[in-house]
Amino acid sequence: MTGLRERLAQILALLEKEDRLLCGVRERLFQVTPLDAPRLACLLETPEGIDRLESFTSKFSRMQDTFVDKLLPIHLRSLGELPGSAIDNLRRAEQLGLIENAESWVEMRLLRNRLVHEYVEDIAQLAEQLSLAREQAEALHHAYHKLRSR
Amino acid sequence: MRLTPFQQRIIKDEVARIMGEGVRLLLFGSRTDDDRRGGDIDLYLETPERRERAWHQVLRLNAALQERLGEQKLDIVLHQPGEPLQPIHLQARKQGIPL
Repeated sequence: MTGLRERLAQILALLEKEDRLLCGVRERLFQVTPLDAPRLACLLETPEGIDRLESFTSKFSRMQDTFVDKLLPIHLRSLGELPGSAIDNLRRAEQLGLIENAESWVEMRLLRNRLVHEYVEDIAQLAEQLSLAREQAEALHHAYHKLRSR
Repeated sequence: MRLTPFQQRIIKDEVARIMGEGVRLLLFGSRTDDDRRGGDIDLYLETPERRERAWHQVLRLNAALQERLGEQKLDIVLHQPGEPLQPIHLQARKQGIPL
């Protein structure tokens, strides 16, 4: 049990750092609001803009992975439950009131794969996808704080 | 085709729920071949009209199907009127089986 508690504390500490970094880059990337297609195109003309986008995408992905693949299974175990697949754990987290909607978390994982793999050529679509990613990054932030306060 | 009637039902229901009626839905790729095993589920969708944020409908559909079918590798290809036909669209149209 001690091992489990230690592991949980380690993951929470990691998430605290990831959360701080993601919030920071989220603010920097979405400084210009709304970040629509013309503004995004402008931003991506600069090396700083490109770095910011890359940084947001990778921190967004990393925090999702830590939350879904590391934190949720350990949290469930600490409640005496047996964790299952990522989708099962998300469903359980929804029942426990930790997250709003399991389906939108699956969507979040699919979205980040699109942001990471395809360098989207359609800038209007990229702007729309980023706006959704921004909302999802906020949901991630809230879920982490909710879980930490339990 | 290697999809159970239950899987086919779920796919059709979710396509109708998220994408609306009138969307052409084909299964293509390895799941159309009865002699193979496993593999991704490749779906081809064609909307009757051009839509705003169609990419988001596809994302929602993919998430909903993963939720209901379990963690499956799903590839969804979308074609909208007025878009150029890419090789994958042509392959899906040629080989695809309507669901």
